[in-house]
Amino acid sequence: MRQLMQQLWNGLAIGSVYSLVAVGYTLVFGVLKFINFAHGSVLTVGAYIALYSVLRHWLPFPLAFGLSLVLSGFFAMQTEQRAYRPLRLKGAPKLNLLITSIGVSLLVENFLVVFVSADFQPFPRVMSTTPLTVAGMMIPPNDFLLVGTGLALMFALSYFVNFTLTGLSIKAVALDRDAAALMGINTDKTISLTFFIAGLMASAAGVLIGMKFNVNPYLGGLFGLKSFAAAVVGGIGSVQGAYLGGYLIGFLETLGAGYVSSNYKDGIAFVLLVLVLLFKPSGLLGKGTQEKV
Amino acid sequence: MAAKSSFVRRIGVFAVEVAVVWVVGTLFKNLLPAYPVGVMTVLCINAVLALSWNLVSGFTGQFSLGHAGFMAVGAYTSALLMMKAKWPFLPAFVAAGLFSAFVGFLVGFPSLRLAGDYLSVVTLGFMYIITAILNNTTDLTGGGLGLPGIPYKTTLPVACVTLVITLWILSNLVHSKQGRCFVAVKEDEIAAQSVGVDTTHYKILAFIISSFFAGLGGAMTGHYMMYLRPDIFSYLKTVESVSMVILGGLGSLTGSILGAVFITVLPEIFRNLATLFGGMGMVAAANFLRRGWMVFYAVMFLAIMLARPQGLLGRKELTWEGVRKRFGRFGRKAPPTVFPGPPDAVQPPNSSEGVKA
Repeated sequence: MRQLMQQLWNGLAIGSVYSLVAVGYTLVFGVLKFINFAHGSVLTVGAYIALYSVLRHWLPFPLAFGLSLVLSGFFAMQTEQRAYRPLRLKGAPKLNLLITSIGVSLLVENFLVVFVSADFQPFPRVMSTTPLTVAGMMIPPNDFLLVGTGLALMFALSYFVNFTLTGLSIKAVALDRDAAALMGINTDKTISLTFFIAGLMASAAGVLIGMKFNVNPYLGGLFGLKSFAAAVVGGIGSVQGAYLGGYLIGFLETLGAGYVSSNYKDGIAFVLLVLVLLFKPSGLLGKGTQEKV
Repeated sequence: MAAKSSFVRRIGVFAVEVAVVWVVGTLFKNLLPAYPVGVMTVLCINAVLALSWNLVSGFTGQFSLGHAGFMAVGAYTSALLMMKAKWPFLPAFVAAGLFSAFVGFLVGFPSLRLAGDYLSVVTLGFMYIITAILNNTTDLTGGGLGLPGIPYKTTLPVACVTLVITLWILSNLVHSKQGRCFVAVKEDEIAAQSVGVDTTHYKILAFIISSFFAGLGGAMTGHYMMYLRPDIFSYLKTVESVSMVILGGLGSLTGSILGAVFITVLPEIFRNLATLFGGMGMVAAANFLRRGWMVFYAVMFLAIMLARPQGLLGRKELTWEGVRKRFGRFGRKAPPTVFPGPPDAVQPPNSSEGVKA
């Protein structure tokens, strides 16, 4: 029982990471209808910004965390404005956007390897690492921060998207970009804003898993892909779906690693993805759409 | 009768080509130093991989990101058949392609019913699943420690001939009725369906054929390196093939080969320049060049997508006729490099004597 509780908690912690990143995929897919393969690299960039701010004693950790959120948000916005927008305005096929986003992630990874460091760097100690014992579970303080940040950002995002005018404009653009433009919404600005929010949430996940494990140029690769699997499992385009998928994959992965075999841990997310796509291609909470001529 | 004799002639031409390439490959192998021979061998392997990716993504428009998974299947199949089951090289090599094609069928059958972007994700997922399986079947594949002692079989002639055969089969395929259906699926799936093209059938067909050649390419990789490890066949390996194809042009067979030449030879140039500068005492420049290739590669990738998304050749093919027309007479305005015809049409079948290597 205690072991199960412990596994569930671990699932919750890692699930928060997946959902934070998955939301970014889903938001961007909502407005642009393409898979942003560079989203994982925003996570890496966020982790590096926080790491170096703390490592070089430029900033205390809370400020470094905040700075990393804002700067990664701007970074994501820049990728949209420099790389995707020109293609979008040219009316290039979606495939080209996808390939370009692969190029962006390649550039970020290789840039970090060549000009920063290819090492696996542990995050400096910014908080106690002694696990607290809660109801028999051993919980490192970092995990509280992870789960707390995940939940806080989740509520902040759903408030923003559902109850503010700017947030509603994202929903409108996702629903129908042309109609939204006719209603006086500045779609380019809204798309930039979407990238900013997506980058911010990914960077929060990046800093926190950087603290949990370590920081390296390929941090965003596998985490990004699994989070993408989470977004698709939940139903891409649906914010609640992204959270559902993220926590689901987090739980299944830790339970699978705990009770079946830890060797196949990285495969579980993708097996789930394939199964969901076979039986419900639009995802658990997604609405099926029929392509029209 | 006429069609039959033309078929016989084409087979004959092809046999002569294979023989010539074999002889030239053997000559190169024996006359040139080991280093250029090695680069050329890798180049042929990469070209086969790029061609196979181009068939499914450039011609059929199905963006597969799991290509490295099929290479891994082919590489391990061939290596294990030779090492554990003591098969000779050729049957093991063909079996590697066939088994990889079978895996391609298993992956493609469910996932190709999905639209566009999902396919790339599912194939990527399958690649991770294949890697996880390879990492965990330690008794058979050596797991993460790798599989040493694979017989060295990919000599330059073998790699060249495989490339020529691949190119011949694919160029005949894309100029056939099936090939036109592939392009139709890419151009507009709904329109293709409405004129009676069974889109799912052609997508799966393209996927299976592509997996077959990816398996061959993987098998050649294994028999060249004499050592295999699951993480050789990572996502980045797929991206390498992708970059060759987009550099040369999505939907251009000779373009893929051109792209493979660039992506294989450029890092060697960087490395040699670095050694040269290092030898001359310019350590900083040498270090910069040594590491610079990775950034240059990524920047080139992005620059192509932003400035010339159709790649160097677009959908054109490099043919002897085209080269002769462009460069044959000095001072004359160059006529178009391709055959005139409908803008998206592929070339007539009898022009398959393209640049072969």
